[in-house]
Amino acid sequence: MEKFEYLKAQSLREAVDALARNRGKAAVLAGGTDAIPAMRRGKSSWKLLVDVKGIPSLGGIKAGSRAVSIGSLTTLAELASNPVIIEKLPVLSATALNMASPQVRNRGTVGGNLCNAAPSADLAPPLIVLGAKVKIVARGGERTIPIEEFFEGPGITAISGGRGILASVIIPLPKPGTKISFKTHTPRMAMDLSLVSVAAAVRRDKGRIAEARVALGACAPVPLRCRDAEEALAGTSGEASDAERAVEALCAAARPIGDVRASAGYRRDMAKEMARRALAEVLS
Amino acid sequence: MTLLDFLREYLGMTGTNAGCRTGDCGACTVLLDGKSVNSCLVLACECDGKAVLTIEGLSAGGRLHPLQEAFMDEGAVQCGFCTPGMIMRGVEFLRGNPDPSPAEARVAIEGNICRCTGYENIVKAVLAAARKMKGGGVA
Amino acid sequence: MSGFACVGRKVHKIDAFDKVTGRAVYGHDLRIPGMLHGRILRSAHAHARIAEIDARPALGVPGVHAVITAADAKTGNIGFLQDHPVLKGDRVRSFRDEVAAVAASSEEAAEEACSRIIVKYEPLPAVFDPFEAMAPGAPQLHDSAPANIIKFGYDFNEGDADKALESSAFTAEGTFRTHYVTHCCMETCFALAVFGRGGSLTFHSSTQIPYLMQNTLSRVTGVPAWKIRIRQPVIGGAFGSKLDVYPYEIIAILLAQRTGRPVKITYTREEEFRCTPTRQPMVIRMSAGCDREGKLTARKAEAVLDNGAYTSWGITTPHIMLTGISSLYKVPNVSFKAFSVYTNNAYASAFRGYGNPQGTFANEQLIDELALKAGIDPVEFRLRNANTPGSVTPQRFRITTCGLSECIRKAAERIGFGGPKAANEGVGIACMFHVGGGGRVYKSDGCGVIAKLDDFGRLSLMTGATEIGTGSDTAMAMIGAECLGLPLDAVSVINDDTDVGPWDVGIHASRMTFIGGNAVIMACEDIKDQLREHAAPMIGSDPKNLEFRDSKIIDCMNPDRNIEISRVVRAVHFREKGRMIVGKGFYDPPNEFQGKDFRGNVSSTYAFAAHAVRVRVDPSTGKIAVLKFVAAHDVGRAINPLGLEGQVHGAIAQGLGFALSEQLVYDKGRLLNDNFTDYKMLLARDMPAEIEIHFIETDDPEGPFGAKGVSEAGIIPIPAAVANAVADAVGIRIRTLPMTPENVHSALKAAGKAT
Repeated sequence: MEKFEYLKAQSLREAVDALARNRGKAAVLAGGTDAIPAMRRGKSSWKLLVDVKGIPSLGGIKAGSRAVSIGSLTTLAELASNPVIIEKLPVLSATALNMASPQVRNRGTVGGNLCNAAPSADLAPPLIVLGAKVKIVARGGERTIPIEEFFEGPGITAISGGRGILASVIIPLPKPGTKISFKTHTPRMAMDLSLVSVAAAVRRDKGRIAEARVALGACAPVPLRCRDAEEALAGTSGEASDAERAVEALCAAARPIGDVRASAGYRRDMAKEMARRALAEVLS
Repeated sequence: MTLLDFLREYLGMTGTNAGCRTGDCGACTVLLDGKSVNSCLVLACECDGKAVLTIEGLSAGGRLHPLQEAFMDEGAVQCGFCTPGMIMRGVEFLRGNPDPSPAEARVAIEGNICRCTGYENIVKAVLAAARKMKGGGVA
Repeated sequence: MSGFACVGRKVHKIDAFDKVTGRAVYGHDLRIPGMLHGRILRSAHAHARIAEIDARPALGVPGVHAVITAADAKTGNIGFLQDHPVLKGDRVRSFRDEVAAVAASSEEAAEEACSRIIVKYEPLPAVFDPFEAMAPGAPQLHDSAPANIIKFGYDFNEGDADKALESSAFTAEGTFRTHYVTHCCMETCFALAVFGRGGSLTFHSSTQIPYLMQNTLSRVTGVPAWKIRIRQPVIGGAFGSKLDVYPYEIIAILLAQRTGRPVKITYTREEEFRCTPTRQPMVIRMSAGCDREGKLTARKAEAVLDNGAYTSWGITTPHIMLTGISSLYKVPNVSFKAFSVYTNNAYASAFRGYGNPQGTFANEQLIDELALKAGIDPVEFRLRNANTPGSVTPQRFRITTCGLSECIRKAAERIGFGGPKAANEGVGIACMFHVGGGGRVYKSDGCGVIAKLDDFGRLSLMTGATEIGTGSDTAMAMIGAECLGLPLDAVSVINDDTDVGPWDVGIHASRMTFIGGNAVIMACEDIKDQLREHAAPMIGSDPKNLEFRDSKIIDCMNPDRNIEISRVVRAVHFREKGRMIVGKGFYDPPNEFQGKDFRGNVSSTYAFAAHAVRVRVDPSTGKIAVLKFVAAHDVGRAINPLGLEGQVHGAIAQGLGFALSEQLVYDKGRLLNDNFTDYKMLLARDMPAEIEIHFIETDDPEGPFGAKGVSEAGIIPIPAAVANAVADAVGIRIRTLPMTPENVHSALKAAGKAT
């Protein structure tokens, strides 16, 4: 591991300033579960690590009447066990519980999973279909953007290069009548990265699908919201043929790569299968 | 410097083993403020003011922790390299779930790799320790 | 286990206390004052000529003490055929190749120095497939091997397999492919070389062959063997990987010589994946035949092995693969050919089972196919052909005790063969045959024990028998305790030092409990004879009537006449013309070294097992779920049942990983998955929820208290058993490992069975 400076930031302002001043040379240290091994393997060589764990405003899960705000420092273990999340957004607690290992979940954070911006990041697809937004704090001030706009490429986000800090994720509470499903395909039961993942959310109103969201993970440079698949469902009564049209749209949007984990062809097949499973669940 | 290197190289506490240094094997698990973490994924400087419990500290006072006893009783130790990490993971797990099912015990050690035992006797040891701790009132 | 005080009981492993308290000292933990850290620079190409190495920039890194290359470090070659230069001077043949090495005061400095060494390569065409390597015009790796075919092959014929196959009522054949997997010892490799008095070398190592290692280190480095002492700390896993000597070990010695300081090399996990040897990948073409009643008539196998760039034990794995092919079940006609081909891949060494898991993958699938063709239930088919006591196999193996039929019946019954199955569910069975009473693969199969009894009744067993986590030293201590009637806590095993322990050929071939255990018995009998002689006059008994139990010597005709063992030892010490109580045992089993005809009773008894699995295949993803696993083993006798179970459980996890998920993935010789995220060993949650292990105790007359060796046995039948279950579940035969979801899915698609 190369030598680096360590700054334990006391405030959001201090952290944002330090990142901006050392643009491209500094990184946020939250759980460290991605950053530390990346530095050891020489994949990244930061001159400055800004530890944000001492900034209280980045932590905590707050439930309002219309939305839940999850601080970016929330660990995956906290997300998995938080009573509010388990009650109101069970897809998130279940997803968190299936990620990595208990030790990594004790350390790894929601913000870290998103900012690391792996195409296979498991929190992204469910957050996309939940309509989540992310709050970014930068030198110029705060802004809130839809989560799907946060991802710009593998490992690249709207705040890469010291352009701010991910403060929280804001998730509108699903309206009554909403069903959500998230299906991942991994060879192992634990410590594995999704070869493919599909999240779907559907709200019915008087039998018709009033609102549909579908997102695909690990099948493109970024987690993908698939509007064609959503349109294939919207306004229909959610018959099997509607689901199949949505699956086809989703498969058309998938641009998986082949790598050491799976071939592109297998990923495509599994995207279809996971899409079928997720849609079958939300349309049942 | 990671917490793992700090323990092993700086303090000479070699009970905590280094299996991969990427957080994938769990051999270096210690408790940081009571939570099990891979010490290879924690910087030593992040631990300022925090409590670190390693395998060496578990049997402080000369009395083995029920998990240590159970690992011996149930044949959960072969080459032993994963053992300290497994036990430390088990300590946190049993604090939160004193009466686990076999399936829960399996999930609890999902991030600890063992190449020798096939996990079966480790799961048995975790369950046996739970029974022992409920009976003996050890925390 | 009636009649025994210690053998057969559940005990704590003698090393368990240190291991659960973090006090066990592994190689990683060793540190010697003044010690330097060594790092190795590896090839940047799969195949290239080295035009120039400029190591000078490395010397400029603060803390660097020495940099060595082939030019200034002359050594002999290593490996089974001595085709492997330690540091590569003119040519690299794989990515793992050692080009230069550095010793520095810290790991970081050594790594930085390595990165500054400038190597100019002239890339050469490379070849990564053994069949391509044999084709005309393929790049040649070694002058000694035209067409890259190594002049070390196997050719065994008994009867006339071709003719027998022609006249068989039913035949089955197939081409089977096994893949690259690796040991993944949880402790990565290390070597620590320390020079001392008169140029003597103390080499700290996790080797499985301390005494053979002395010889190799001497031959390669020129240090006289009598000046070399091997010390072994607690070993964090081996599984066969440490049966050879590797370049990094020699490099540690060279760096220590150069610097005059102790030098330690410790592999990173990535290095461990990239640079340690693999299980031998093979392509096996096999056919088998039977008559109308389902009696096997013949087996014929041809195997081509990808040797990689250099030769370690991998090239000899057909030796043990052949034992299963010739001798699992009764088969009169056998033909077997195997040879190895150089490629620019990683090279293979020994790994638990030693070729037998690969051969059995083919062998046991063909049994199912024959049974299907003959219209005979696969369990019944196996029973009709099972080995029996008193029979002799085509390789002249003399079967003494044999519980194969009991194993088959037990496994089939417990898995529910012939019972109800849900959709896409299937059951499969596979058996195995392996050496169980040592294996005379070297001229020696011996192990020595010196047993010392002290004034206080403590028994020290000094031996060369290495402990690699299998529990062999606990078994040896239990046997010592049993022989002398001592508590287990009074027995210690000192097996970490070639200066102390007498000769042992190494821990391989599942031999340590069997061979070492017998040596302990012999040493203890020696002690008992001495104690009887001294004790008899002390209690007025006939030496013939003296027994050893409860730490006492007791007259079995008159139990009131008894005396503490320790009192006898003290009496022998504290007198004029005193004596010491030391016993010697050297056990070399009554087995035979095979000649070029591959015939001879290589082991003094054989291990048998049957494994049965129940799987469910998901036809839409290809994922195989192992629902239940039953392992039935003929173990002779369980010395330490808990340890024995652990050996089988561990083998099941490794075997299922081999079958289902583990694979080293190479792209033109470059490893793509050098980490535990992408090299997928099974984790606790991936293991079958229901595992049953059954021991069939056949009480082998040659075994210590009747025991056979079993450490390897458990991994051997697993890929075949799973493949048979998959065929039963979804009607496709998987002949290529591993059975990953993707591979199974693609096989299902090809058969039009994917959903």
